Amino acid sequence: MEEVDNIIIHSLRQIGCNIEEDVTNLGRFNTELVVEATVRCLDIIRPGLGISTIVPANMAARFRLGATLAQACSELGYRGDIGYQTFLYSSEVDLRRLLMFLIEKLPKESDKSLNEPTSRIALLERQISGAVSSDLSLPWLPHYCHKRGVRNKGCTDRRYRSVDLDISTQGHGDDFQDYRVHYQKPITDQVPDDQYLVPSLVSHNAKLIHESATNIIERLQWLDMHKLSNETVEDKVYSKNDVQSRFTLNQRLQFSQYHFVSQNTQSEEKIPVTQAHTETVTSLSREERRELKIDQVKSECESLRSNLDELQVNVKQLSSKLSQVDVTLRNAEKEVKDSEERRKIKARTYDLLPNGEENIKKLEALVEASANKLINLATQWERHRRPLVEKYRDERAKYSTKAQSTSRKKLDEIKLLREKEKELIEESRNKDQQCTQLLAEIPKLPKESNRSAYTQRILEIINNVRKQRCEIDKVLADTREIQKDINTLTGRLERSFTVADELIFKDAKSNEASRKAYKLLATLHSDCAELVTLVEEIGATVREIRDLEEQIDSESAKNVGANLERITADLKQMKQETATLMAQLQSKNS
Amino acid sequence: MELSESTVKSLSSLQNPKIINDVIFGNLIDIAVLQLCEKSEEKYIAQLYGSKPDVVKEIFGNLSSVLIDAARLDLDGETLSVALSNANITGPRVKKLCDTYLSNKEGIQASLSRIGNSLPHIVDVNWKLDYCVKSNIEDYIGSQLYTIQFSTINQGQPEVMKFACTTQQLQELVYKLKDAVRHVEKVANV
Repeated sequence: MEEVDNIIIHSLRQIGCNIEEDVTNLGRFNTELVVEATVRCLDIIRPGLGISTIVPANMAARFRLGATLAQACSELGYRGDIGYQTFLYSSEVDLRRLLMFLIEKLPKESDKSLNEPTSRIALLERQISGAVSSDLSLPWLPHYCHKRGVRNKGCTDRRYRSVDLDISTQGHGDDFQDYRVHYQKPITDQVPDDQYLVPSLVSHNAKLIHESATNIIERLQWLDMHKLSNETVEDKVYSKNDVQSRFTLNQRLQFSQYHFVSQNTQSEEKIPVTQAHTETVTSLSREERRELKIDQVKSECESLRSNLDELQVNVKQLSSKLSQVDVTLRNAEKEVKDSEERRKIKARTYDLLPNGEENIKKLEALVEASANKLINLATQWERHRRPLVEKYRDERAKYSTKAQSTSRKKLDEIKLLREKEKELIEESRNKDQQCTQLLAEIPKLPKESNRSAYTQRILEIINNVRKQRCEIDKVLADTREIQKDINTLTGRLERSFTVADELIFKDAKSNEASRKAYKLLATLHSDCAELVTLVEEIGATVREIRDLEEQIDSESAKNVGANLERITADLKQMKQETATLMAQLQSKNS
Repeated sequence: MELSESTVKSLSSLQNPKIINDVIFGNLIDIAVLQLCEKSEEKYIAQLYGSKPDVVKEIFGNLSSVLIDAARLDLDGETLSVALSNANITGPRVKKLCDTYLSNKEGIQASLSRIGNSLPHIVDVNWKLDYCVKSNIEDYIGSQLYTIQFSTINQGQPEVMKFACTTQQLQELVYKLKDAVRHVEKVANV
C-alpha cells in the first residue's frame, strides 16, 4: 500500500496540494488535507466548481461542504460508498479508493498539449469553425423575432450609400471660423437619413487616410489640363468636365440645371402665353448647341492627336539626325587634330630650312651623341644586370628545393588541419544535435523515470504474486493429497472394522470372552468416530476464529473509536452552537 | 489601426479638460454611441454646444469615425488604446472611450454588418402537395406536384418566391441542402 500512497501523494503535489514532506502515507492525512486534495482534483477535472479549499470552522458549514464534495464525486461516477463522513471522518481505505479514482480522472498532460495550432491560417480556421458551430447551436426563431445582432448574420437591409461629410480642421482664417461656429452642421445633420451615417463615416475615414495619393493624381490631371487648353474659357470648362470625376459631373449637372431654370424664367418673363412652346424650343436649341459643341471638341481632339503623332515622328527623325551629326563632328575633330600636328612639324622644318647644311650636321651630331649615350647606358645596364640575374638564379635554385619541401610539409599540415577541422565541426554538430535532443527530452524525463520505477515495482509485485500463487497451488495439492489419504484410510478402517466385527460376532455366539471383546470393539468404534468429529469441529472453530480476527482487524483499521470520539465532540460543538443560536434568538425575541 | 492627421489633431484636444469638460465629454461619447447603434434617443449634439460649437462638432465627428473604424477592424479595447497612445493620445478619457467602445462594440458592429448587398434571406417555407389526376392529353396522370413558397427578406423588405417541382426535383433540392448542411458541419468541426 505504501507504493500506492506514494503515487497518490506525488500526483497531489503535482497539482498543487501543500503536503508536508513528512507525510508519507494516507493514514496521516487530516481533514483539512483531505478536503484540499479533493477540491483541487475536482477543480482540475471540472473547472468552475467554485469550492473553497479551506475548511470552515462552523460545524454546519463543514457538513455542507462534505455533502457537496460527495455529490460532486458521485456525479463524476464514483461507485463506492461516499458521504460527508468520507471527508470529515476519513478512514484510510475509503480515502485511498476515492483519491485513486480522482487521480485516474485527472486529465492527462498529453491531452492538453495536443493540437495547439499556432499558424495564422490555423487560427483563422479555428475562429471560423467556432463561429459556425456557435451559429449551428442557436435555436430556431421565427424571423420577426430576430431584429439585429447575431441572428441577422449575412442579411443586410440597406445599401452602402454615403455622402461627403464635412469635419473640418482648425487654422483657416476668420471667415472659415465663422462658418464653422455658426453654419456648419454636426455630422448627424449632414446626412439626409440615419442610414447614411455609418457608410459616410467609413468613407470619410478611408478618404482621410488615403488622401495624399489621390491628391497627386488630381494634381497631375490638373497640370495636363493646363498644357492642353489654349482654347476659349467655355471649351476649357467642358474639356475639364469630360476628363474629371463624377464630382465635377455633378457640378456640371447643377450648372446646366441652373442654366435651364434661368432660361425658363427669362422666357416666362418675355412671353408668358407661349410658355410651353418656347420652353421646348429653347431646350431643343440647347441640345443642338451642346451637340455642336461636342462635335467641335471631338474634331479638335482628333486634330490634336494627329498633330501629336506628327510631332512624335518629327522628334524621332530629328534625334536620329542628331546622332549622325554627332558622329561626323567627332570625325572632323580628329582630322583637325591630325592636320594640326602635321602642320607643327612642317613649320619646324621650314624654320630649319634656311641653314640646311649646318642644321643637318647638327642633327647628325645630335643623333650620334644620343646613339652613343644609348649604347653606353646599355653596357652599364648589362653590367649591373648580369650579377643580379646570376644571383637571382642561384637563389632560386637554392630555395626551390628548400621551399618546395617546406611548403609541401606545410601543405600537408594544412590538409591535416583541414580534415581535423572538418571532423571537429562534424563532431560539434553531432554534439549540438544530441544536446538539443536531450534538451527536448528533459521535460519528458522525470515523468519517464517515475514511470520506469513504477513499472519495475509493478513487475516485482507481479513476480511476487506469481510465487505466492505457486505456493498456494502447492498447498492446495497437499491438502488434496491429505484428503485422499484420509478417504482411503477411512475406507480401510470401515472395511477392517466390518471384517473384525463379523469375525468376533461369529465367535460371540459361543464364546463369552469374544462377546465382551465385541462389545468393547463397538464402543471403541463409536468413541473413535466421536473423536474424529470433535477434531473436525475444532478445525471449524479455528477457522471461524481466524475470520473473526480478520474482521476485528478491518474494523479497528476504520478507527471507529477515534472517529466516534470526534463525532461526539462535533455533536457537542453543534449542540453548543445551536444553544447559542437559540439564546440569540430568544434575546432578540425578548 | 490608422489614424489620419486631422483626426489625431482634433482628438488630442480631448486630453485638455479646459477645452472640453468631463460632463460634455461623457455626453459626447454617449450620443456618438447611440447614433452609431441607431438607437433613437431624444439627445442631440446641439444641446452640448456651449461656447464652442465648432470644437464640439469636430470632436463629435472624429470620435464617431474612430469608433466606427475600430469596430470595423474588430479591435478590442486594449488595441484601441494602444493605437491612440501611438498617436500620443492618452489619459483617463481614452480609458473611458475604450471602455464605452468595448461595451458597445457589438451594437456598432451590428449596424456595420447591416450595410451592403446580400442575397435574399430565407426565413420561412410553406408548401403544398397537389395531385394531378388528368389533363386534356392524358386520361390518367397520377403524379404529385409540390408547390413551394419561400418567404425571403431582401434588403429589409419581405419578398415571396414561389415555385413548383416534382418529387424527384424536390428530392434533388433536399439532397443539395443536406450536402450544404454537411459541409457547414464539417467546417464547424475543423
